[in-house]
Amino acid sequence: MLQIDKSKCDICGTCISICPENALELSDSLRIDQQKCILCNLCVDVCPFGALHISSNKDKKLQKEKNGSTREI
Amino acid sequence: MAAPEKYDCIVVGAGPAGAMAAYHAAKGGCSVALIEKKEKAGTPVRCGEAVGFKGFSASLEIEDRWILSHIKRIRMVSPSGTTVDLINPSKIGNNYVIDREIMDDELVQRAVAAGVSYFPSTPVLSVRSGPRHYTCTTPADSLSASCVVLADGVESKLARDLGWDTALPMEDIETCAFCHVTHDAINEEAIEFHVGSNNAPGGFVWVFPRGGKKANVGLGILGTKHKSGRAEELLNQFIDRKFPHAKVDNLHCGGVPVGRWLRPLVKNGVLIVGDAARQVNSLTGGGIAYALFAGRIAGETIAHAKTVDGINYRRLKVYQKKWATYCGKQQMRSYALKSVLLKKDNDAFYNSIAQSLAKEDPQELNYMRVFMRTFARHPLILLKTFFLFR
Repeated sequence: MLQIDKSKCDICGTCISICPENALELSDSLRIDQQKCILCNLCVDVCPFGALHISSNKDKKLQKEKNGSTREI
Repeated sequence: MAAPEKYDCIVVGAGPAGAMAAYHAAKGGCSVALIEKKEKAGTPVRCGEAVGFKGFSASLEIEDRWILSHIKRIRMVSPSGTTVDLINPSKIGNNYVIDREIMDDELVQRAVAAGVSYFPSTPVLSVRSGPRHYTCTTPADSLSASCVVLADGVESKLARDLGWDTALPMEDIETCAFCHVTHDAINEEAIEFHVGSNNAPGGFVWVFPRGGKKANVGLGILGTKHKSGRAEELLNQFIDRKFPHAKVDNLHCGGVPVGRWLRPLVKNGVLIVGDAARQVNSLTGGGIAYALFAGRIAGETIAHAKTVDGINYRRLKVYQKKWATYCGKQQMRSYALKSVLLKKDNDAFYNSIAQSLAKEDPQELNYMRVFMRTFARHPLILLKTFFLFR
């Protein structure tokens, strides 16, 4: 899923201008609407300071197996 | 619950476009609310801050107290380091580096002095349209108006809520990193543009002096040629090369739209101006002159559209007509040239142009000559853009 490194984010809004799904929002900080995000990676590519990245789901899968739970995380 | 405060016009965003729109609408007799999400509009400054007198003064007299530097030389530097200088003021006009913090603040003050109700530190969460009016919702309140001006910048969201598709394709954005650099090598009277894949792929590095050995140094990389964080990396590399051991502060980033201006500019009672409307020169990334102009004509149009029965929405379309007439063609020209230049964006191309231009007398160089030399070997391109020059 899309994640923000707040220590790098300059709250410039460049990512917002290219998001095709209107999934990003600026107020005091940058916020992501994960429901709308389609993981297209455009915001990750465009960010001048490299503050965005898409985390892999591998870690979450491992976590799920360890807990022996069948619930969605 | 009290009915929302009703205005003739609400302007969202108090940068140059919004402040001008609010000022001129109020001067023309409208009641105006100017709403700004930040405590101080336009901070931090995300702008190169260089302007040409001609474009700027079409809308606004430039004040001495805004001027940081008077520019006597425009220098272009090719990837191999060949420099091409434009130095003749009768050919290049007067150019300045201005202090946007001071100017933006003053434009807002002028709007307030003209009767505009100003609401800083107030984000607009949504704009809803009703019968013949619009309601702007903020965290604490609701304001309503007959018409709305969206001047909410490159990161504009409200236009999308009102039916515009403003998402920029990656080839129509420059992703930028910039800062203040203090170093002995900075020439107080010269602005510089550096091109090349090692400097700024699909864009350029700018060095714009702000007085006292300090300069705005920044770069823009075309979205399609950028990878996460590269702008900051390349900026640091440039500074290390050209200004070793410099004092660097005020590092920020931002996006510059370099697409076609947005159409339509008016939808019912909503007008869109400035970066939000993509009113930016696609070649230079310059948007100040366009923002001032669009803001002014939007504000004047609203004032002329005011009747005893409220704002006549049909009359608002004059704003787009005026923009298209005075600026639209020029902006489209810059877009066509930028598209063509990007096809040629390689170091050998820039080096060969620079080499041939460097042989010319700097006193004789003007923009047209640079343009002709750049596209001389591409008659089809000249033909394509010819109709835009009529």
